[in-house]
Amino acid sequence: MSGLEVRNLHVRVAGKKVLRGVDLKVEYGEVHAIMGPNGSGKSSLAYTIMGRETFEVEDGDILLDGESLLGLSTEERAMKGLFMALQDPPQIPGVRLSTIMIAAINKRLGSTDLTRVRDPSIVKRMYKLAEELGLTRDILQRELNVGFSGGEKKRSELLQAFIVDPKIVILDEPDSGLDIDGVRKVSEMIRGLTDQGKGVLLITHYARMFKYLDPDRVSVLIDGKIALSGGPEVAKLVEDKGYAYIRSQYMARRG
Amino acid sequence: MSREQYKELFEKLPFQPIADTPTVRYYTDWRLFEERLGIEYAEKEDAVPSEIESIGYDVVLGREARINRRVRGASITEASYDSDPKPLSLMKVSNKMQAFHAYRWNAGIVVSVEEGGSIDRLSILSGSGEGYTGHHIVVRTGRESKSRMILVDYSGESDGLKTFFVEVDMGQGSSLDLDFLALHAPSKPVYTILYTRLGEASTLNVRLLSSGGMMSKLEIATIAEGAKSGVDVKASDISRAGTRSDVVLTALHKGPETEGNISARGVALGDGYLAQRALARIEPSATWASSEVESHVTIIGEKARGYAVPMLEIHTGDVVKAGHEASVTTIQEDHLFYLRSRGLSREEIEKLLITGTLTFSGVIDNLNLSPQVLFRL
Ligand SMILES: Nc1ncnc2c1ncn2[C@@H]1O[C@H](COP(=O)(O)OP(=O)(O)OP(=O)(O)O)[C@@H](O)[C@H]1O
Ligand SMILES: [Mg+2]
Repeated sequence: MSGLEVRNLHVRVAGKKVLRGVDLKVEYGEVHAIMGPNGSGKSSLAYTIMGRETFEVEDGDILLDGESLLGLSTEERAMKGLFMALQDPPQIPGVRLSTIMIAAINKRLGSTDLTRVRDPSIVKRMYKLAEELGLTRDILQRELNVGFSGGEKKRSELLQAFIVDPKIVILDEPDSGLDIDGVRKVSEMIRGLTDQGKGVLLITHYARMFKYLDPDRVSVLIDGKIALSGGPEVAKLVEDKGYAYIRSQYMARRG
Repeated sequence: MSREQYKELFEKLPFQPIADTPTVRYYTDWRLFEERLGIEYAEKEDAVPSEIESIGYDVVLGREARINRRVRGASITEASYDSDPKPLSLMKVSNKMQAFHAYRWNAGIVVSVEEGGSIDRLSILSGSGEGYTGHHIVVRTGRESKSRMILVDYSGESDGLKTFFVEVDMGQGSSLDLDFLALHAPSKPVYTILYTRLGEASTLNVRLLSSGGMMSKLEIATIAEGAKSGVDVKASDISRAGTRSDVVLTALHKGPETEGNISARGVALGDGYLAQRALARIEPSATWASSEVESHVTIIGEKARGYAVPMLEIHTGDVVKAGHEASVTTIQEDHLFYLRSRGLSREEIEKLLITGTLTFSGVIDNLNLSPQVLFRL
């Protein structure tokens, strides 16, 4: 199949089992939303797909366009077309936001010199996208995430997602810490990603983004398992009844 | 003082008056200097890499001082023990190596910037050779003058020892903008000092790029003596494999309403060693001073060591602002994962961090250098 596919994924981190048989698909041009309570394994799922070494795959597979990614490093997966916007990206003094974006672009263009700007139109595009996302121009020259506000971090992650032009974008809570206008703006921009034909795996606690962005699929992750999966109606159910209800329904179904 | 008197002082003084801190006795390995105290003056000069050569120099210090060009707005003359101003009349000799320099330096110049004068660009190269090289520069900036200078402290591949001291006395209302490049091959210990005294309402901007050698001791001491004088020092320091640097950046506030800002970024590679100390001291007379010091060191080599000792001493009740910040970090797993998730390998990430650190102070951009020049030594 085309797009991202996760099959029966079992994962352990620091000795603790965090995913217990997850199956899901993200097709191109669609938003697959993953909801779930704190600690249910949402970020773990994202990190594992991205190949973070601390997350150990015990069973299952992760495929992009039908090819397994399991043997690949994080950067190789990124080069194949995966991008992850982190829930809380770290501060990196000494590296500017513009530097990392230029390096990421140059790498994808096959350049060995990662710092030189080869095409000035790329810089223009960075500024334009930054503006669309509600970021000020000077942020591009600041050190990566150093002193960024919560909202600036989220927007900067999304900016990078647009700039590197991946196939699949994993967004880990892009709405947390955003004000109302920010939630709308970011939701619209996410729709922009799928309009470009990218697949989006959208991790979020709340259904508030779905006012502006209809998800194509919604899955609920509880205790490392998909407890419920379906269309936008699943998000509605989460909103109305809460995670405890979904968990008890799931337990009842499983006996 | 005469040469003879400095020599006596040299015999009496210790390498270091007091230990740096109770836990680390010396950041500088003085033994490497001590072993070379008896060597002869350098005869043959070390070749300078073409990229450094191409900066172009008005003055070159080697075996002797070569003044290549007249510079409008300033007089440049060869220095001697009784030139005006006298070498070492601003800075007090306080340890053995300083006294060694004082009695043995072999080439130097005195630069006097005219009152109200303005220098667009004065560039000075201090080179080195096989044997001992001692260079001394005295700069006096006249009232309300404006100067922009480039100082290159280069120490090449041959065996030896180098001392390079620069004293700057800034007249009232004058300004000095300085790009300071210290590049040392791993073959000699080098002791470099930039000592500046600021007159009333004068301003000093220093951008430093340093890449140490076998053992580089580099001190930038700024003394904000006149009221309302201001200092801004930005430093990028790198210790490559097989090198050791002790960089000490000091802002001493004596005058009221003085401003100081020191911020340094450093990186230690391979088994390199980098002590990058940023110190500020606000004396009782420096009422309503403001001072900020910041030092961050990133360790990239597995055997590399770094120290980012910040120190802020406040001896007056009335300060406007005083802050200090320091860190020594290795590349953490979460940083690495984050940057790898953008498609970069560990090697590429390290390069970016190194380049980021090196370009921080602005010298690379101002002098149009490529960061690679630091690795060809
Ligand atoms: N590196 C780690 N070491 C130990 N435990 C971890 C580690 N990473 C995650 N965990 C644990 O795994 C579980 C799942 O964490 P995860 O971050 O995936 O949850 P989440 O669904 O993203 O939660 P949140 O909504 O709060 O972001 C939690 O119990 C967490 O404490
Ligand atoms: Mg999470």
